[in-house]
Amino acid sequence: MVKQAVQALAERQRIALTLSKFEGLSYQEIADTMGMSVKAVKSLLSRARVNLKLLLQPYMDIGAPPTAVELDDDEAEQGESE
Amino acid sequence: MNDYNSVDEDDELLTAYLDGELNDQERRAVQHRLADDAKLRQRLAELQRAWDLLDELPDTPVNQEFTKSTLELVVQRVEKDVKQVSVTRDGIRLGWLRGMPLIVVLCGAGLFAGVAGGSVWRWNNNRSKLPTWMSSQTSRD
Repeated sequence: MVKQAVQALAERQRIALTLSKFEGLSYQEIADTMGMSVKAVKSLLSRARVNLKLLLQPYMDIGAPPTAVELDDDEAEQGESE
Repeated sequence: MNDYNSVDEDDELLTAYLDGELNDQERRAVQHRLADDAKLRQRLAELQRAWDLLDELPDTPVNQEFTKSTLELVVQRVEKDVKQVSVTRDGIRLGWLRGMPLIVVLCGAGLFAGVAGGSVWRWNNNRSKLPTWMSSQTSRD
């Protein structure tokens, strides 16, 4: 379930999430790695967390698999980093 | 909801708070708000819970067949290397044996040259000891 939720995230959100959660990088380090501003990383990770929460909400509530949820994408962060 | 401006400031703040990315002043401000606002606390808990669920992601199991085939490849490679070393050693041994006749011939030639050279030297040495008339007779022969 959790894996499905992570895979459902936009690519940049997934990368930022991985770098933050599993690699333990700071926002600055993620910004350097992904070629973005710290502000954009902050926004990206916020979206990742919120989207993850939306995707996993049913699972957290009643143990049901994640349902199709309209997610925030990260087009804005893409523009921000350029 | 894909506009950059649509990012909820509180979500962003709470995320940064959970990630430990706020400075002392910002952190204290969030903590004060959390103390007063039950909805914000609920929001924080949900964000944290979803994040914590990531810990349940299993490590990617290594495919058994992949492991087996990889080990088989390693074993095959090691066996091949061992055979190559063995063949090389045999080759060196056989090569040495193939060179034996030449060595024997060279040793024989050396022995013959030594014996012949010694005989000539002895002959010349002895000839100088002969009486003059006999030596001249010999040289004339």
